[in-house]
Amino acid sequence: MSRTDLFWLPSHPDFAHALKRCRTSEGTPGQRLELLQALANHNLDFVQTANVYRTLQPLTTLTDGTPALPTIKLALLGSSTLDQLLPSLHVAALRRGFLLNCYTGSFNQYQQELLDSSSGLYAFQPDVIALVLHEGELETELALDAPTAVVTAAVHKKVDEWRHLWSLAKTRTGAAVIHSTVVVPPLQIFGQLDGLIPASPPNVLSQFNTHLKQKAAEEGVLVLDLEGLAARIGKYDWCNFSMWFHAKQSLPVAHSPICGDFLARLIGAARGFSKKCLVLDLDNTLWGGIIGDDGLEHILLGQGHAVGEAFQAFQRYVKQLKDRGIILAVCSKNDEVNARLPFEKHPEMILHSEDIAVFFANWETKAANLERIASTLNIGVDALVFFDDNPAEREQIRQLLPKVAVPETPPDPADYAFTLSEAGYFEAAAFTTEDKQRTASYQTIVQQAQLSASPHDLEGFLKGLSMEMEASRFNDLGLQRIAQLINKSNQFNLTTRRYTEAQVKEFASDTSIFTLQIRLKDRLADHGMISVIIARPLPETREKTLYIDTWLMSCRVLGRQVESAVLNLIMEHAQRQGYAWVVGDYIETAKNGLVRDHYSRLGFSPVTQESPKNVQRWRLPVSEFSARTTTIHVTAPERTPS
Amino acid sequence: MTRDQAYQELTTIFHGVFDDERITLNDQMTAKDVQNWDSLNHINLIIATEKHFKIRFETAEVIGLANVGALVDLVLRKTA
Repeated sequence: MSRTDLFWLPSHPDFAHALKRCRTSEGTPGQRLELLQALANHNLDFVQTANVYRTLQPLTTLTDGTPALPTIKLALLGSSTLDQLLPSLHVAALRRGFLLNCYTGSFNQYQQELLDSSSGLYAFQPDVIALVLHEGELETELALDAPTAVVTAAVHKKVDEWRHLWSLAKTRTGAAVIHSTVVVPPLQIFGQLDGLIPASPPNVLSQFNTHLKQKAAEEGVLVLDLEGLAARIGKYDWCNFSMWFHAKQSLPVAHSPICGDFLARLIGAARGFSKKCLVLDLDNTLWGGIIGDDGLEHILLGQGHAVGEAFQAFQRYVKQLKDRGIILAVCSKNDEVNARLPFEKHPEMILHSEDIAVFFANWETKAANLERIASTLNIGVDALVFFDDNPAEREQIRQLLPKVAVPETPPDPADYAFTLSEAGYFEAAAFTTEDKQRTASYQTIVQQAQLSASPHDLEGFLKGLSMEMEASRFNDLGLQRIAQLINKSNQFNLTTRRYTEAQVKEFASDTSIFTLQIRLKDRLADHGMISVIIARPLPETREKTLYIDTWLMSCRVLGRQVESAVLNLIMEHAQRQGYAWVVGDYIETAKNGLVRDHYSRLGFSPVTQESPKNVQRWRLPVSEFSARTTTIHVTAPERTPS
Repeated sequence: MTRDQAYQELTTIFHGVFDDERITLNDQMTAKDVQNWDSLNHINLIIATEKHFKIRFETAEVIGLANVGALVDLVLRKTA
């Protein structure tokens, strides 16, 4: 993961083509704006961002003249050139769900504009006023040996001037006011002693920043922390002295995308556009491993293992978000009993059931669950942030619910908290006592009402994944992984029969036994081997019968129609070999409730016979079977064995 | 890097910065010949070129650039 400006967003595989589509698509302006909004949610550089902005301009109003998205009137004032910031600012706003109508003051005229009640600024009637100041503005006449009291007086005097401007701005417009800290340039006078000399220029600037924040907090002004942003980027990279002399350019042009995003998220926060709810996946997001398969004892979480500690640290970060008023929800493909187990029983969990306002663990699509979470909490899906380690789930949400914020999840859980933090989805404008009690109040209104099935175009999503399945008989190469799956899979496992590697090898060499090892890949990921089939002729039956001894699958590829494609292969084999029936058992365990209706969903009928209570047999006549349609492209090199 | 290579890579940068894939560069070309080549985009061009070739232009060098040919020469000198 390279930490470029917008590193929490996915990079775009073909930006030029996507941009062209936004420009030439025949859709309505509204539809084209949606395309552009999706494009804005990528990790773009400053040139790409400027081109998105050019495309955005004609799309901001609908054909009837109304704004295409909620629009905030922003007055942007400063003491340096801010033109380069504008495209990034507009695109960042679009990324965060709103548009900006911008008034930019004349260069370095912000005091006059704020003082003069007949200025263009006041005629504009802004919703938000942002003051972005350059440190050159703060040059004082202080002697290097000026004592603390003199320095403090000078700093207070300047900040008091600003306070006067803030109060004028607020009373005349009612606008929210944002004021930037200044970036302290890395220009040392005494070296590291600078911080200890009251009147050294870097120290004076730092004191401005400190006092500014104090007064801003008192006056209800928001602070754009440019100094903090410059520290993130690194001042060696941030400072381009030449550009100041050329163009009075104080913000680094190459980093406009993050500068724009930093300001846009604050403007959004001031006007209620920040996200409210963090929706978390569980397996490999809150802990390492898969609770349904690995069990409570074997998931990675907590002290003693570096990765376990990383997951725990992420939970600690999430808990802090909850404590400041972010609602937490869980959306996991799991049996609910399994999913809740760590919350109730694992000693190293930081998050507990009472921290989670809504808990959805089931096998439906995550898009449907997210809609349910939003409606249960009575908020819009545009207030959700979805954090999930599975790229296919993220892609599905981006496509089906484009208003949900979906940050990339880094490959290393050690980077989870940092990524979520830097994405800035939960930018706050204040911290109140209500915030602290939010989860409790949401929990009381949560009613897990069953809502109607999702209207989304799942078929289209699956098609877009370009899934490729490769099925072959057991072989030496796959032996180890086959045995591993057979001995580890608990949830999507019809019979939970365990076999050793030696037994698996025997199946492979027995020609009467039909075996399949199945691999799946798609546009986003290679899932590797995800399913195993063992089927053998059932002895002493009136009509020739193929018995499915083992059918298991990794839950990661659930809801992808893999089961249907696999059934097609089994039935093809049965047909070729002249079987009349295919039968299979569902042997119930504590963990495989997920596949209770597996055979029924695939068109099998239940067989009534004397059998242990936890076994249900199912059968399907070969002659009546017609191949099931799927969106998966299947390769089976051994499709026509003798 | 050859002059041709520098030309090719600069062409891609121009297409991005001036948002026009039809631009064909030549040595004599100046800001007057390219739509959108205003002071704002001039800064963008300088920064994008610096970033792409991992070079830094000095303040005086940026002022002295007469045309595209001079920019190509400068890039070649800086990357040599």
